[in-house]
Amino acid sequence: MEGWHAPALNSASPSPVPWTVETLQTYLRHGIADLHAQSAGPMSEVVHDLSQVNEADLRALATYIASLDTRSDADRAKLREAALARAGASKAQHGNAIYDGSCADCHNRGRGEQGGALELPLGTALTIPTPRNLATIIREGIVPPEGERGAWMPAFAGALTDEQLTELLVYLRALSGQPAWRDVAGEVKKISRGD
Amino acid sequence: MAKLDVNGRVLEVQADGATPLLYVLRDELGLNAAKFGCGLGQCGACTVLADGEAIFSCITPVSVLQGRKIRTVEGLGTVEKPGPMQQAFIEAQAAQCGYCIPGMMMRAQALLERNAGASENEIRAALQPHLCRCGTHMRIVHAVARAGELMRGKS
Repeated sequence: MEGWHAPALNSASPSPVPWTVETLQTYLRHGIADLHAQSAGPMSEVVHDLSQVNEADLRALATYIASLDTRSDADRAKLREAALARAGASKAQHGNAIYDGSCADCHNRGRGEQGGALELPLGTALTIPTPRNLATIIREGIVPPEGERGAWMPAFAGALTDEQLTELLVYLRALSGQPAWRDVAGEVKKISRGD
Repeated sequence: MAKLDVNGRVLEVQADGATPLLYVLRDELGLNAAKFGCGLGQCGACTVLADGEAIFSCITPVSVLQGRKIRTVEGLGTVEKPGPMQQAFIEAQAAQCGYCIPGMMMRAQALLERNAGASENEIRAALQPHLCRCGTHMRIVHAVARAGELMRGKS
Protein backbone atom coordinates (compact mmCIF):
# COMPACT_ATOMS: atom_id res chain seq x y z
CA MET A 1 0.00 0.00 0.00
CA GLU A 2 1.67 3.21 -1.20
CA GLY A 3 4.97 1.33 -1.11
CA TRP A 4 4.38 0.02 2.41
CA HIS A 5 3.54 -3.51 3.50
CA ALA A 6 0.40 -3.64 5.66
CA PRO A 7 0.92 -6.43 8.26
CA ALA A 8 -1.90 -8.92 8.86
CA LEU A 9 -4.30 -8.23 11.73
CA ASN A 10 -5.80 -11.73 11.97
CA SER A 11 -4.14 -14.86 13.38
CA ALA A 12 -1.29 -14.37 10.88
CA SER A 13 -0.31 -11.12 12.65
CA PRO A 14 3.50 -10.91 12.71
CA SER A 15 3.57 -8.59 15.74
CA PRO A 16 6.20 -10.10 18.11
CA VAL A 17 3.94 -9.29 21.08
CA PRO A 18 0.33 -10.12 20.09
CA TRP A 19 -2.11 -7.19 20.19
CA THR A 20 -4.89 -6.84 22.77
CA VAL A 21 -8.01 -4.65 22.77
CA GLU A 22 -6.24 -2.26 25.17
CA THR A 23 -3.00 -1.94 23.20
CA LEU A 24 -4.93 -1.57 19.93
CA GLN A 25 -7.06 1.19 21.38
CA THR A 26 -3.97 3.02 22.66
CA TYR A 27 -2.23 2.54 19.31
CA LEU A 28 -5.18 3.81 17.27
CA ARG A 29 -5.43 6.86 19.53
CA HIS A 30 -1.75 7.76 19.87
CA GLY A 31 0.00 5.90 17.04
CA ILE A 32 2.18 4.18 19.60
CA ALA A 33 1.66 1.58 22.33
CA ASP A 34 3.97 -0.11 24.83
CA LEU A 35 5.84 -3.13 23.43
CA HIS A 36 4.84 -2.27 19.86
CA ALA A 37 6.47 -0.38 17.02
CA GLN A 38 4.94 3.01 16.32
CA SER A 39 2.75 3.80 13.31
CA ALA A 40 4.48 4.78 10.08
CA GLY A 41 3.61 5.43 6.42
CA PRO A 42 -0.09 5.56 5.57
CA MET A 43 -0.94 4.27 9.06
CA SER A 44 0.16 7.61 10.50
CA GLU A 45 -2.58 9.28 8.43
CA VAL A 46 -5.11 6.76 9.72
CA VAL A 47 -4.19 7.59 13.31
CA HIS A 48 -4.44 11.27 12.50
CA ASP A 49 -7.91 10.83 10.98
CA LEU A 50 -9.02 8.74 13.97
CA SER A 51 -8.36 11.72 16.24
CA GLN A 52 -11.90 12.81 15.29
CA VAL A 53 -13.39 9.53 16.56
CA ASN A 54 -14.62 9.30 20.16
CA GLU A 55 -13.26 6.82 22.69
CA ALA A 56 -16.31 4.48 22.59
CA ASP A 57 -16.10 4.10 18.80
CA LEU A 58 -12.35 3.57 19.01
CA ARG A 59 -12.93 0.88 21.62
CA ALA A 60 -15.42 -0.84 19.32
CA LEU A 61 -12.92 -0.72 16.46
CA ALA A 62 -10.14 -2.13 18.67
CA THR A 63 -12.47 -4.89 19.91
CA TYR A 64 -13.34 -5.87 16.35
CA ILE A 65 -9.69 -5.91 15.19
CA ALA A 66 -8.63 -7.92 18.24
CA SER A 67 -11.37 -10.48 17.49
CA LEU A 68 -9.76 -11.23 14.11
CA ASP A 69 -6.86 -12.88 15.92
CA THR A 70 -8.34 -16.26 16.90
CA ARG A 71 -5.17 -17.78 18.35
CA SER A 72 -5.66 -19.15 21.89
CA ASP A 73 -4.78 -17.00 24.90
CA ALA A 74 -2.12 -19.54 25.86
CA ASP A 75 -0.46 -19.38 22.43
CA ARG A 76 -0.57 -15.60 22.47
CA ALA A 77 0.94 -15.47 25.96
CA LYS A 78 3.74 -17.81 24.85
CA LEU A 79 4.59 -15.54 21.92
CA ARG A 80 4.58 -12.52 24.18
CA GLU A 81 6.93 -14.13 26.72
CA ALA A 82 9.29 -15.29 23.98
CA ALA A 83 9.42 -11.80 22.43
CA LEU A 84 10.12 -10.19 25.81
CA ALA A 85 12.83 -12.77 26.50
CA ARG A 86 14.49 -11.94 23.16
CA ALA A 87 14.35 -8.24 24.00
CA GLY A 88 15.93 -8.98 27.39
CA ALA A 89 18.65 -11.10 25.79
CA SER A 90 19.60 -8.30 23.42
CA LYS A 91 19.83 -5.87 26.34
CA ALA A 92 21.91 -8.38 28.26
CA GLN A 93 24.27 -8.70 25.29
CA HIS A 94 24.95 -4.95 25.35
CA GLY A 95 25.27 -5.20 29.12
CA ASN A 96 27.84 -7.94 28.69
CA ALA A 97 30.00 -5.63 26.55
CA ILE A 98 29.76 -2.90 29.19
CA TYR A 99 30.68 -5.43 31.89
CA ASP A 100 33.75 -6.47 29.87
CA GLY A 101 34.94 -2.87 29.54
CA SER A 102 33.98 -1.46 32.93
CA CYS A 103 33.74 -4.22 35.53
CA ALA A 104 35.65 -7.31 34.41
CA ASP A 105 39.16 -6.10 35.26
CA CYS A 106 38.39 -6.13 38.99
CA HIS A 107 35.40 -8.44 39.32
CA ASN A 108 36.82 -11.29 37.24
CA ARG A 109 39.86 -11.44 39.54
CA GLY A 110 37.95 -12.17 42.71
CA ARG A 111 38.85 -10.95 46.19
CA GLY A 112 41.91 -13.20 46.44
CA GLU A 113 44.03 -11.12 44.09
CA GLN A 114 45.39 -7.61 44.45
CA GLY A 115 42.96 -5.08 43.02
CA GLY A 116 40.37 -7.83 42.80
CA ALA A 117 36.73 -7.57 43.79
CA LEU A 118 33.90 -10.03 44.43
CA GLU A 119 32.87 -12.20 41.47
CA LEU A 120 29.45 -10.78 40.76
CA PRO A 121 27.48 -14.05 40.58
CA LEU A 122 28.21 -14.15 44.33
CA GLY A 123 26.76 -10.69 44.96
CA THR A 124 23.58 -10.33 47.04
CA ALA A 125 22.48 -7.13 45.27
CA LEU A 126 21.91 -9.22 42.13
CA THR A 127 19.54 -11.61 43.88
CA ILE A 128 17.08 -9.29 45.66
CA PRO A 129 13.68 -8.42 44.14
CA THR A 130 14.67 -4.88 43.05
CA PRO A 131 17.63 -3.52 41.00
CA ARG A 132 17.77 -0.49 43.31
CA ASN A 133 20.76 -1.47 45.46
CA LEU A 134 22.87 -2.62 42.53
CA ALA A 135 22.01 0.45 40.46
CA THR A 136 22.94 2.75 43.34
CA ILE A 137 26.26 0.98 43.95
CA ILE A 138 27.18 1.22 40.26
CA ARG A 139 26.14 4.88 40.01
CA GLU A 140 27.75 6.10 43.23
CA GLY A 141 30.54 3.56 43.72
CA ILE A 142 31.69 2.50 47.16
CA VAL A 143 33.54 5.19 49.08
CA PRO A 144 34.87 4.70 52.62
CA PRO A 145 34.06 7.43 55.18
CA GLU A 146 36.37 10.43 54.87
CA GLY A 147 39.85 9.74 56.13
CA GLU A 148 39.18 6.03 56.68
CA ARG A 149 40.46 2.97 54.89
CA GLY A 150 38.03 0.58 53.28
CA ALA A 151 36.81 -1.13 50.17
CA TRP A 152 36.57 1.22 47.24
CA MET A 153 34.78 1.11 43.91
CA PRO A 154 34.65 3.88 41.30
CA ALA A 155 31.34 5.65 40.57
CA PHE A 156 29.86 5.19 37.10
CA ALA A 157 27.07 7.78 37.19
CA GLY A 158 28.93 10.05 34.75
CA ALA A 159 30.24 7.28 32.53
CA LEU A 160 27.05 5.30 31.87
CA THR A 161 23.79 6.72 30.57
CA ASP A 162 20.52 5.50 32.14
CA GLU A 163 20.04 3.22 29.16
CA GLN A 164 23.53 1.72 29.46
CA LEU A 165 23.10 1.22 33.20
CA THR A 166 19.81 -0.57 32.46
CA GLU A 167 21.53 -2.91 30.01
CA LEU A 168 24.27 -3.65 32.52
CA LEU A 169 21.71 -4.38 35.27
CA VAL A 170 19.76 -6.76 33.02
CA TYR A 171 22.99 -8.60 32.22
CA LEU A 172 24.08 -8.79 35.86
CA ARG A 173 20.67 -10.00 37.02
CA ALA A 174 20.94 -12.91 34.60
CA LEU A 175 24.18 -13.94 36.35
CA SER A 176 22.21 -14.47 39.58
CA GLY A 177 20.00 -17.18 38.13
CA GLN A 178 16.91 -15.30 39.37
CA PRO A 179 14.00 -14.32 37.10
CA ALA A 180 14.46 -10.98 35.30
CA TRP A 181 13.63 -7.75 37.17
CA ARG A 182 10.54 -5.87 36.00
CA ASP A 183 10.88 -2.39 34.54
CA VAL A 184 14.60 -1.93 35.17
CA ALA A 185 14.59 1.16 32.91
CA GLY A 186 11.87 2.79 35.01
CA GLU A 187 13.71 2.09 38.27
CA VAL A 188 16.95 3.50 36.83
CA LYS A 189 15.16 6.64 35.71
CA LYS A 190 13.72 7.12 39.21
CA ILE A 191 17.11 6.63 40.86
CA SER A 192 18.89 9.04 38.54
CA ARG A 193 16.15 11.62 39.25
CA GLY A 194 16.81 11.07 42.94
CA ASP A 195 13.40 9.52 43.78
CA MET B 1 33.96 0.83 13.63
CA ALA B 2 33.24 3.33 16.38
CA LYS B 3 33.13 7.09 15.97
CA LEU B 4 34.34 9.23 18.83
CA ASP B 5 33.93 12.97 19.30
CA VAL B 6 37.21 14.01 20.94
CA ASN B 7 37.98 17.67 21.63
CA GLY B 8 35.47 18.72 18.99
CA ARG B 9 36.76 16.42 16.24
CA VAL B 10 34.82 13.33 15.15
CA LEU B 11 37.31 10.50 14.67
CA GLU B 12 36.85 6.95 13.47
CA VAL B 13 38.50 4.36 15.67
CA GLN B 14 39.34 0.75 14.86
CA ALA B 15 39.34 -0.61 18.39
CA ASP B 16 36.74 -3.13 19.54
CA GLY B 17 33.79 -1.57 21.43
CA ALA B 18 34.84 -3.10 24.74
CA THR B 19 38.25 -1.37 24.58
CA PRO B 20 38.67 1.21 27.34
CA LEU B 21 38.76 4.77 26.03
CA LEU B 22 42.22 5.36 27.52
CA TYR B 23 43.91 2.88 25.18
CA VAL B 24 42.14 4.38 22.17
CA LEU B 25 43.18 7.92 23.15
CA ARG B 26 46.81 7.00 23.72
CA ASP B 27 47.50 4.18 21.28
CA GLU B 28 45.24 5.00 18.38
CA LEU B 29 44.71 8.75 18.50
CA GLY B 30 48.10 9.76 19.91
CA LEU B 31 46.50 11.85 22.67
CA ASN B 32 48.85 11.13 25.55
CA ALA B 33 47.62 13.55 28.22
CA ALA B 34 45.46 10.99 30.01
CA LYS B 35 47.72 8.53 31.84
CA PHE B 36 47.58 4.85 32.71
CA GLY B 37 47.98 4.60 36.47
CA CYS B 38 46.20 1.55 37.81
CA GLY B 39 43.80 0.44 35.09
CA LEU B 40 41.16 -0.11 37.78
CA GLY B 41 39.58 3.32 38.19
CA GLN B 42 41.32 3.79 41.53
CA CYS B 43 43.96 6.48 40.96
CA GLY B 44 42.35 9.09 38.68
CA ALA B 45 45.31 9.59 36.31
CA CYS B 46 43.19 8.58 33.29
CA THR B 47 40.33 11.03 33.98
CA VAL B 48 38.74 12.80 30.99
CA LEU B 49 35.36 14.44 30.44
CA ALA B 50 32.32 12.93 28.70
CA ASP B 51 29.58 15.53 28.18
CA GLY B 52 31.17 17.56 30.96
CA GLU B 53 31.23 14.69 33.49
CA ALA B 54 34.57 13.41 34.77
CA ILE B 55 35.03 9.72 33.93
CA PHE B 56 37.83 7.20 34.38
CA SER B 57 38.84 6.46 30.80
CA CYS B 58 40.65 3.25 31.81
CA ILE B 59 37.36 1.55 32.73
CA THR B 60 34.98 3.16 30.24
CA PRO B 61 34.60 1.15 27.03
CA VAL B 62 34.34 3.17 23.83
CA SER B 63 31.01 1.44 23.07
CA VAL B 64 29.27 3.53 25.73
CA LEU B 65 30.66 6.84 24.46
CA GLN B 66 29.03 7.02 21.03
CA GLY B 67 27.67 10.49 20.41
CA ARG B 68 29.11 11.96 23.61
CA LYS B 69 31.59 14.81 23.68
CA ILE B 70 34.92 13.66 25.08
CA ARG B 71 37.45 16.20 26.27
CA THR B 72 41.07 15.73 27.30
CA VAL B 73 43.77 18.14 28.46
CA GLU B 74 44.70 18.56 24.77
CA GLY B 75 41.30 20.21 24.35
CA LEU B 76 41.81 22.78 27.13
CA GLY B 77 44.30 24.89 25.18
CA THR B 78 47.63 24.82 23.36
CA VAL B 79 51.26 25.39 24.32
CA GLU B 80 51.05 28.85 22.74
CA LYS B 81 47.63 29.61 24.17
CA PRO B 82 47.01 27.63 27.35
CA GLY B 83 43.47 27.55 28.73
CA PRO B 84 42.73 28.89 32.23
CA MET B 85 43.26 25.51 33.89
CA GLN B 86 46.61 25.02 32.17
CA GLN B 87 47.66 28.63 32.83
CA ALA B 88 46.85 28.23 36.53
CA PHE B 89 48.82 24.98 36.88
CA ILE B 90 51.82 26.67 35.22
CA GLU B 91 51.54 29.73 37.48
CA ALA B 92 51.23 27.60 40.62
CA GLN B 93 54.00 25.23 39.44
CA ALA B 94 51.68 22.49 40.60
CA ALA B 95 53.32 19.57 38.82
CA GLN B 96 56.22 17.63 40.25
CA CYS B 97 56.46 14.35 38.34
CA GLY B 98 53.23 15.40 36.62
CA TYR B 99 51.74 11.95 36.17
CA CYS B 100 48.52 12.61 38.08
CA ILE B 101 48.11 16.18 36.85
CA PRO B 102 46.08 15.71 33.62
CA GLY B 103 43.48 13.70 35.54
CA MET B 104 43.35 16.30 38.32
CA MET B 105 42.96 19.06 35.72
CA MET B 106 40.04 17.41 33.97
CA ARG B 107 38.11 16.68 37.17
CA ALA B 108 38.79 20.25 38.30
CA GLN B 109 37.62 21.52 34.89
CA ALA B 110 34.31 19.67 35.35
CA LEU B 111 33.92 21.19 38.82
CA LEU B 112 34.72 24.76 37.75
CA GLU B 113 32.49 24.60 34.68
CA ARG B 114 29.62 23.95 37.09
CA ASN B 115 30.89 26.44 39.66
CA ALA B 116 33.90 28.61 38.89
CA GLY B 117 33.71 29.97 42.43
CA ALA B 118 34.14 26.57 44.13
CA SER B 119 35.55 26.85 47.65
CA GLU B 120 38.74 25.13 48.79
CA ASN B 121 36.66 22.48 50.56
CA GLU B 122 34.65 21.85 47.41
CA ILE B 123 37.86 21.53 45.40
CA ARG B 124 39.31 19.07 47.91
CA ALA B 125 36.12 17.01 47.94
CA ALA B 126 35.91 16.93 44.14
CA LEU B 127 39.53 15.78 43.78
CA GLN B 128 39.11 13.03 46.37
CA PRO B 129 39.21 10.21 43.75
CA HIS B 130 42.72 11.32 42.63
CA LEU B 131 46.02 10.12 44.04
CA CYS B 132 49.30 12.07 43.90
CA ARG B 133 52.40 10.32 45.19
CA CYS B 134 54.70 13.35 44.99
CA GLY B 135 52.67 15.19 47.57
CA THR B 136 51.94 18.34 45.58
CA HIS B 137 48.37 18.47 46.85
CA MET B 138 48.61 21.98 48.30
CA ARG B 139 49.81 23.46 45.01
CA ILE B 140 47.20 21.53 43.07
CA VAL B 141 44.43 22.97 45.25
CA HIS B 142 45.88 26.45 44.81
CA ALA B 143 46.12 25.96 41.05
CA VAL B 144 42.48 24.92 40.79
CA ALA B 145 41.36 27.91 42.86
CA ARG B 146 43.46 30.14 40.60
CA ALA B 147 41.91 28.55 37.49
CA GLY B 148 38.51 29.48 38.94
CA GLU B 149 39.69 33.09 39.24
CA LEU B 150 40.90 33.10 35.64
CA MET B 151 37.57 31.66 34.48
CA ARG B 152 35.74 34.39 36.38
CA GLY B 153 37.83 36.97 34.52
CA LYS B 154 40.24 37.96 37.31
CA SER B 155 43.77 38.59 36.09
